[in-house]
Amino acid sequence: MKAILRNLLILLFPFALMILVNEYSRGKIQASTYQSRGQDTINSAQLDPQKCTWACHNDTGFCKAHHVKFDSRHFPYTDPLYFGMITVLKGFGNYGLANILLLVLFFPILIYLLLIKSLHIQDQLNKLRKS
Amino acid sequence: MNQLLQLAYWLYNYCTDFVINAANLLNLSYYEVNFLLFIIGYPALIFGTSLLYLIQRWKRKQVSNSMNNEQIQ
Repeated sequence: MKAILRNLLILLFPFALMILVNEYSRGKIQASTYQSRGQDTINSAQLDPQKCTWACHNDTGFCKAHHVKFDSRHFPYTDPLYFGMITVLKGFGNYGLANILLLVLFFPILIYLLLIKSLHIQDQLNKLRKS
Repeated sequence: MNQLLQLAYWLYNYCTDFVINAANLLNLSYYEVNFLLFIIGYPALIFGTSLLYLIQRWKRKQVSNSMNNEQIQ
């Protein structure tokens, strides 16, 4: 029972954190009228030099020019990885769907299963050592 | 199928809003949070949990081998 509760908490924690951050921010920012892929968004798409918006998603160059804090000398190393990943995801044909399937479902489920399996083995080891 | 796609797009928007909000709350940028999460965080977590799993399996094998040896003696 304790293990099931622990596994459930590990599963729910990232989603709870995402909801907490989004709903906290929703209360702090002006309601947006922007829509992406036919769905409403929390943030607007206004070009704002002070903070990130959907404009940073739509135009990475703007985000890099106005918001990035780390040394711009790192861009030659970070850009190929960053845009390489975007290119790979776009290669699937549907960028949004590939994002959800790989980054929200497949990789988190893989990480979760490996972690839960490791904790299960640790439980078995603790029982063996006790007996 | 269309409803499933709409749900996926809503989820995509919600996750993108999360990255934007996290960037603003942490005083970072969308580019940096994306990079930290998906280029550094995910590969590190996949490598780390895979390594942990292999170590745990090896430890379990060691313990069961030593228990079998004790039983034979």
